[in-house]
Amino acid sequence: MTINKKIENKTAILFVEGWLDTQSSPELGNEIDSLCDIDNLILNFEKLEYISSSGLRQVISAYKKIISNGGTFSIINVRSEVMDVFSLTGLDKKLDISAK
Amino acid sequence: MRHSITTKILIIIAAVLVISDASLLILGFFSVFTTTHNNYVSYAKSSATIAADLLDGADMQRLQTDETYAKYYTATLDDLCQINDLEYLYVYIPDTENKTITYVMLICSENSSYSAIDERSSGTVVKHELTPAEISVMNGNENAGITETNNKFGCVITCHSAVYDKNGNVTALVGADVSIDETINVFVKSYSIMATAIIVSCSFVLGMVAVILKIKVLKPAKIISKNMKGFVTDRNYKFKKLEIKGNDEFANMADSFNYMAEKIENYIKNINELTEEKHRREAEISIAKNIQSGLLPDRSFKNKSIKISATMIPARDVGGDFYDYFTLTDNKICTVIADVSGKGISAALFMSRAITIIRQYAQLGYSPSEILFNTNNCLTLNNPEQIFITVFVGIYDINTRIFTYANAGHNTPYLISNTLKKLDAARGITTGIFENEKYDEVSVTLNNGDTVFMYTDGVNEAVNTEREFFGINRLENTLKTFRNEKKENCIELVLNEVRNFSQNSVQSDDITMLSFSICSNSETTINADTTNLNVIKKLITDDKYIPNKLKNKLFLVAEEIFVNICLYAYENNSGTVDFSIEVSDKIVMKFCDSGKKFNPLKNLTDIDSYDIDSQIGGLGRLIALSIADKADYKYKKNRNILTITKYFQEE
Repeated sequence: MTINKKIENKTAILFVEGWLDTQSSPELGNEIDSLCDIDNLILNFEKLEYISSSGLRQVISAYKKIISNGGTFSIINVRSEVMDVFSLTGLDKKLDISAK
Repeated sequence: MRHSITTKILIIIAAVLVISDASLLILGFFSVFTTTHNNYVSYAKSSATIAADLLDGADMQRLQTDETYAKYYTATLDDLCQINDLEYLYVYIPDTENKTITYVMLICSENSSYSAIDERSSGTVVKHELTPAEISVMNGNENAGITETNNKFGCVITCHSAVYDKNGNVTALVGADVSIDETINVFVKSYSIMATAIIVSCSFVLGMVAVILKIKVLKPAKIISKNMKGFVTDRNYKFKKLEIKGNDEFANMADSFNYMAEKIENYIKNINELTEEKHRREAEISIAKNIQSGLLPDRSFKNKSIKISATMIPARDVGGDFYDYFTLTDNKICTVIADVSGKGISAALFMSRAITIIRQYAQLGYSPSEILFNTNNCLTLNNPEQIFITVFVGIYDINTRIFTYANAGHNTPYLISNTLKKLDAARGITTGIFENEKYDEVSVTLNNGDTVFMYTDGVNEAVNTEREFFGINRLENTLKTFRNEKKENCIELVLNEVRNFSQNSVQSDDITMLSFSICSNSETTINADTTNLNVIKKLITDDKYIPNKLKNKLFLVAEEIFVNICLYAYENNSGTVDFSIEVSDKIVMKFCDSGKKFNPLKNLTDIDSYDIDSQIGGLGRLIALSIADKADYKYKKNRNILTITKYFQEE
């Protein structure tokens, strides 16, 4: 998994590529925790091939953190196989999420 | 309750005895009484007449005074009195005018209870009015004059007779008295003798009758009855022939009974022998059945590449159908199904020959058509009963996935993949009849999940109560549902259908089926550490039989389950997990661990009510089980066993 980030006007965009599984998801958590002085977060999952429940947990904790500070949280360009996992858990209805 | 005939007869004899005795005694009573009475009356009458005759012409006055004159008469009358057993014999002169009588003579018996000699001595005059009987005698009627009196002289019967002088005038009357007490004594004496005689003789006669009955009737009846009862009710009773004596009804009865019993004994003996023989034969057949089922391989077999299941249900104890499968060199598996004509022992014997020959040629490395060619020649050479066998032989090469087969007159097997196809090959002639027959050989490449189904005509020719056949159409429809309805085992499926169809009808032919499915199987044992997820990932990614679009989904399931085992079953302690993935017409993943008992199917929140704000735990299981088509958990021998099934086609 690789993560590229771009920060503009207190909005961070994270480009997550590859597999977000049990082993790699703590990296995403660390990456989000390291972001400071931002209000909004956009996760671009265009190149994310795989997500498991551990990845979802990182997404959920990031979502809670951003929302509690009054920012906006969105996930964009989600592939259908990854979207399936979001819909399985009902997260697609909670989050601001859009498909590719 | 039953009374013995002896008791009944004794009761009857006793009744007869009582009745006959009573009637004889009553009759005897009257006859003895009359005789005794008449005897005594006649004694008295004759005594009176004799005395009167003696005294005719005698001087009555002189008799009273001259003792010497009277002595002769007295002595004679005394003798008469004693001889005729009279109580009194007396002579008196009646005086009709003065109504008196004057006693001339009175003889008294020695036994008289009351002596009247002194009171009525000669010359005594007694006041007495003549009785009608005395008057009648005086008037010349000799037969009249019997009176009965009871006075101080005792209870007597008196007879009178008149004494005449020379001129024929009545000079005196003679009275002869007989004691009634005496007659009664005599009567009682003679009657008791007679009664004793009657009772004794009757008893004797009936006693004799009873004895004769006992010997002649009751005893043989009892013996016959005892023997018959013993013979009928107790089968352990040793039958003894009844002795036949004489030629009466009992002899006939005994004779008939002996005849009947002998016949029955013979029948029973025959039946026992037949039953024994039957049991012996059944035992032998049961052994034969075991031997025959021993010839066939197990009903199921499984390795990494193939899953075989088979069944053989003979119509009788042993059958002529058989299935067979065995591994050959070069990673090949040979499958056979065959049907010997006929049923029972003969078919079973021929079957055992055929199965051996086919195996022999297969193991020599012959192809299916060569196997059939040589088997046919072997069987035809020595087949006096002209028994024939239809055979289908197919060899599956695990390496190339090619199935090569040849058919000698057998029902065409089916290939169940996405559609149902017949494994067509020119159906050669059945084996066992003509020599040097050639058989076509056809090859087909099989894919994961493909199933080959072979059967004998016992399946399609199974009949129901309406005498309808199960038929090919029903069989094909059933096989189509196998893939569509995602059943586990097509043999069980067909067998259930056949049984539901034929209900309680008797199975008329052997039912035999063999099916094999192509699968691939990978397995590994890894430590319960999340870093080992790569091993599982590689196993799934590298499996060429898993469709690519399913790979990520399967790995997602595997990851969630594996992490769950590491975190909850082993609680981050060390341990191992056995993981296997099998691909046939579906994908089955299996996880085994020795950690804490943990059922991941339990306490699972419904996905619709899952609250992401509060619930974090259980999310992985929720995802895994939502993707799985089927999940099964077992806890066996301290191991958690979780089986996840995923079908190729989405539900």
